[in-house]
Amino acid sequence: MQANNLFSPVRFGWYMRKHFQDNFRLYGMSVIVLTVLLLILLLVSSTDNFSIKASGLMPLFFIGMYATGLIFTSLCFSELGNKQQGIDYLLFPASHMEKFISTLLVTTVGFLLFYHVAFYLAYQTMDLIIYTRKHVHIVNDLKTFTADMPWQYFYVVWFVAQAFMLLGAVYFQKYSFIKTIFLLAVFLFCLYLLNTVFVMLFFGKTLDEWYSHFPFIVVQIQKGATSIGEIHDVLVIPETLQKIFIFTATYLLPPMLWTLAYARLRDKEI
Amino acid sequence: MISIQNLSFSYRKNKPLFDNLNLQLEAGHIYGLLGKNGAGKSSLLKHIAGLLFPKAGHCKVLGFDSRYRQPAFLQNIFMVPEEFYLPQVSIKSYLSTYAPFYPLFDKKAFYNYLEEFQIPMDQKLTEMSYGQKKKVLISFALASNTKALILDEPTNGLDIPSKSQFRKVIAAAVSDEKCIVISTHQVRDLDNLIDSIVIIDNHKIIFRQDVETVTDRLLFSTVANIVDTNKVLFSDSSIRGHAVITPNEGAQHSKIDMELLFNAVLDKPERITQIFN
Repeated sequence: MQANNLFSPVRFGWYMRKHFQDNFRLYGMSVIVLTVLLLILLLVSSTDNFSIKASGLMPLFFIGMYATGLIFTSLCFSELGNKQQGIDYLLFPASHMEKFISTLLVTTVGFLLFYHVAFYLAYQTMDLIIYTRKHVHIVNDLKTFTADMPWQYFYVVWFVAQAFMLLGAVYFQKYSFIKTIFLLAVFLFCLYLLNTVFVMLFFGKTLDEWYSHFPFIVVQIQKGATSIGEIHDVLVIPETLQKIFIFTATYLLPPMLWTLAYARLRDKEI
Repeated sequence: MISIQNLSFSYRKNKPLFDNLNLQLEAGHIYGLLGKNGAGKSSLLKHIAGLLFPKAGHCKVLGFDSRYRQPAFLQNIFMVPEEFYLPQVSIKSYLSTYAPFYPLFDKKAFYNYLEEFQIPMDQKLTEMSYGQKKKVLISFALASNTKALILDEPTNGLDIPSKSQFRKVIAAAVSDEKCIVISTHQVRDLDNLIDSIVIIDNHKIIFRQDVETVTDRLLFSTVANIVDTNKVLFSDSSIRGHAVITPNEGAQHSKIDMELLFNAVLDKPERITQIFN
């Protein structure tokens, strides 16, 4: 295959332009709706006399990011579920790589950018409302919050979830969000059962309970018994292995899932 | 230009749609792909465009394997599907975003085609009727100057004057470098337009001849009474008399009746094939 048939920066630029020109109304309206929705949720969650800290808003921030981001990603290949739009999409003279990367960028970088802007606007509006009512600003304690909390892992997990959702979106054109969540839950449950079989085989009766483990990371066993009660021990995999797992989940799993989604897109028929 | 070799395909197991199908289509022609409903016309066009993949054999257009849908292939083929999609933008916006992807796109020709079809330039695509949208898409397809142009039931949804305009613009657009394939079940819409006929039935190409050869070998006429029934290959009666197809033994000239030929080929494929072999 000629390099130009795989990826051309110029064509990719045109394709991105086409994407935004086709969708600018939708995206613009989405940001407005998201900002208003976030503002309402922020106001509802801060009804305790409008005395609020920025760190108190973080759970809502992350819940919103996961919910809207994953729903948005699950809809990104919805045109393939529609015969007319699917034909237009697949026969558009850009490579599969260009089409896929544009979708990937829109659902990751694009979404995160828009979401942060929407949340910031909602936050500023809320601050203005509080200031109007109480003449005080929201306490910005994010420095302490981010120092105490490994917040970056929320983003890592978001990227993994986004990659699963993108793969699901290519496979299922209808109800892809529900189907992907369901299949992921089934997959994780099977993984848990598989691990249960292994820990039962390895630890037998010393296993605290059949469910006292976290797949491939930690197992709780009984070490003995005293007059006070049983002595438990928690076995955790070595730190090196933990680091390998974290590295895999952070840097390898999302690209692997994206690659699978790309391969599936190339094989799409209508 | 378009080469289909030993194509086998099925939507379901044990129910083949195509079985070892072979077809060669050359540049400089307008092919009419005819067939009954469900014969596989649209599926064949989808294979050519790379929207369906063969289970066996291959489908190549300009040397490109269709199934890979490479940009170099896609910018040389345009398909107007029976049911199509146009984004909710203005014509100008559509033009500015889609046209750069077709290197040979002729903007002036696009406006001329729109004028021919009487489509107002300032009208938004969202405000157009189905027929008007189809005419915009046909205009864009022709202006893109792709080497292969595939039209699936293009006259569906067009009013009577538009059908005539359609024939006019297609006839004007054909060149030695272009291969136009038109699939339809409304065979009369293709009168005086196509120069080659491909009839698909029962998973196979059962007839493939150019119009000139057909009129050389067959005589289409309307008679009040059928005198020699042995000579008649096919007949269709109406209040005007009997439209008949007979072997053209006297090298007479007649105008092809596409519908009559189509019915004759489906009704007596062996006798018709014998004449052309």
